[in-house]
Amino acid sequence: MFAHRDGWVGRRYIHVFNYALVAKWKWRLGSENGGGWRDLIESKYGDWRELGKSMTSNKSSNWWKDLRIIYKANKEFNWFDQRIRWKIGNGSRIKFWEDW
Amino acid sequence: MGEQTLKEKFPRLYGVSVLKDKMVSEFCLRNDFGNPQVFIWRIPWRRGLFEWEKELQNQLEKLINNVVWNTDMFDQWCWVGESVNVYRVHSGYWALKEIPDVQSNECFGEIWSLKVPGTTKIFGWRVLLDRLPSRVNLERRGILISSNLCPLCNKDVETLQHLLITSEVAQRL
Repeated sequence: MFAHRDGWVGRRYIHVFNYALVAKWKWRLGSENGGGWRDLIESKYGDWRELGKSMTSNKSSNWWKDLRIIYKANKEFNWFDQRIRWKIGNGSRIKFWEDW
Repeated sequence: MGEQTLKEKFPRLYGVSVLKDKMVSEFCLRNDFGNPQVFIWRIPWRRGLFEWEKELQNQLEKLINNVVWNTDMFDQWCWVGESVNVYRVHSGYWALKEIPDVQSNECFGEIWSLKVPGTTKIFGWRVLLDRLPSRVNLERRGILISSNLCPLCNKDVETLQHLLITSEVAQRL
């Protein structure tokens, strides 16, 4: 799909595309309701906020380590967090000072 | 709250606040039955506020009282720039591509084709990826060193940036 739209060829934008794909995981961690896979991930690694912190444990799975490139990409370009807005519901998931 | 968090908007108040990582609902006593809804904010401080800080507090409360709540739902993320407010890889990709530096990330090909000795190429490649064993990097890898200060000037931590650009010694070269 991408390939046709802007003549996307070869490896030049692959890493950009990869950032965008990996960001989907952060989005899902932050936006999906509890229950099921997200609770599982949170109990093991912590919530989406962990992806904004620099340290990671060597014991993490490769999948989680791969997600860490989100931190790198966001730190350099601040592209993801900048485009996130909270819509407040019952106020139970937004941190007053740090997220809101 | 818009592009900035409350912490960034009111750094002074954040500094004197306690319970810095609590959720919004924990600061708010809400009367759901009133119409319009009435919010009573209980934001605890670790000491009494000065007069000028109280002014800030007023601004803060004014700001948060303007927010429309949707109390029968969970808090939700919205993705800016997508009509459905949901992140899609497609729009993420285009948002990223607008940032000029993202694309120029891969210039290794140019390095490899330079007519310089191989070790120089490898050095250049390591510089770009920050893979040189600067003391900060060594420390991060868990290698024991006595200090992470630059051994040439002892003034700043030895990062790649420092070593090649900002250090006095580098400036002289």
